[in-house]
Amino acid sequence: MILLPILALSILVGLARGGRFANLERWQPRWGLLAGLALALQVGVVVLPLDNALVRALLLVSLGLLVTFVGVNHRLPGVPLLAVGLVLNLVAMAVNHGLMPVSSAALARAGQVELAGLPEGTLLEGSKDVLLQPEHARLWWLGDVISFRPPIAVVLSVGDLLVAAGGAWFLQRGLFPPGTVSRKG
Amino acid sequence: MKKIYWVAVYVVLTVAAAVVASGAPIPWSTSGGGG
Repeated sequence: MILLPILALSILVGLARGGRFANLERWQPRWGLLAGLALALQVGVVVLPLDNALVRALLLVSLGLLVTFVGVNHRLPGVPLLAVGLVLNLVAMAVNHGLMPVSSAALARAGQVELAGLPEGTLLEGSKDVLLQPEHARLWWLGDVISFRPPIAVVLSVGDLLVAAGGAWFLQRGLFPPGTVSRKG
Repeated sequence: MKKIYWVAVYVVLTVAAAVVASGAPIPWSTSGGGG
């Protein structure tokens, strides 16, 4: 649960720098419903008892919606960075049968020792992660390899970090009117 | 004026949805990953 706090922190920093919510009106993303639908699909994947093939199909549709969303909004600040992160996550999942690989070592480093002990190939409940050792995962370095120790206790991918940075960048810029931030320095 | 803030809510929620859905794994995961 770390991506949302990063966005919240970005908003607080932006407001502390003199930004205003009203300025967001000038930076409206187009087709925002696509992002909402993509998220709703992923929630459905997690909470509904679906079989594996349907899970992967819905994830694919969800990611297709996201690619369309970032495509039509690529001119907004931070969105290109978010898009790179999305593509890195997409590639990592595409080459690993639609799931994000995470190793037992990475989980153990994050303090998730019980999960680290699960059998190879286990789909971790409530996530898009599959437990795979680096030697059995393709492009393992694009998977969830960056561990944060407790109390944060999460494992992120390089793509996740870029996605979060892109979102934070957008909010930092969006809280100010166009053409003002660079001059303020 | 109120309309402006609804727009701001729309923008923040849209960006949050895009970030959360683009990140993998899903952040409300109670298990392994948890972006």
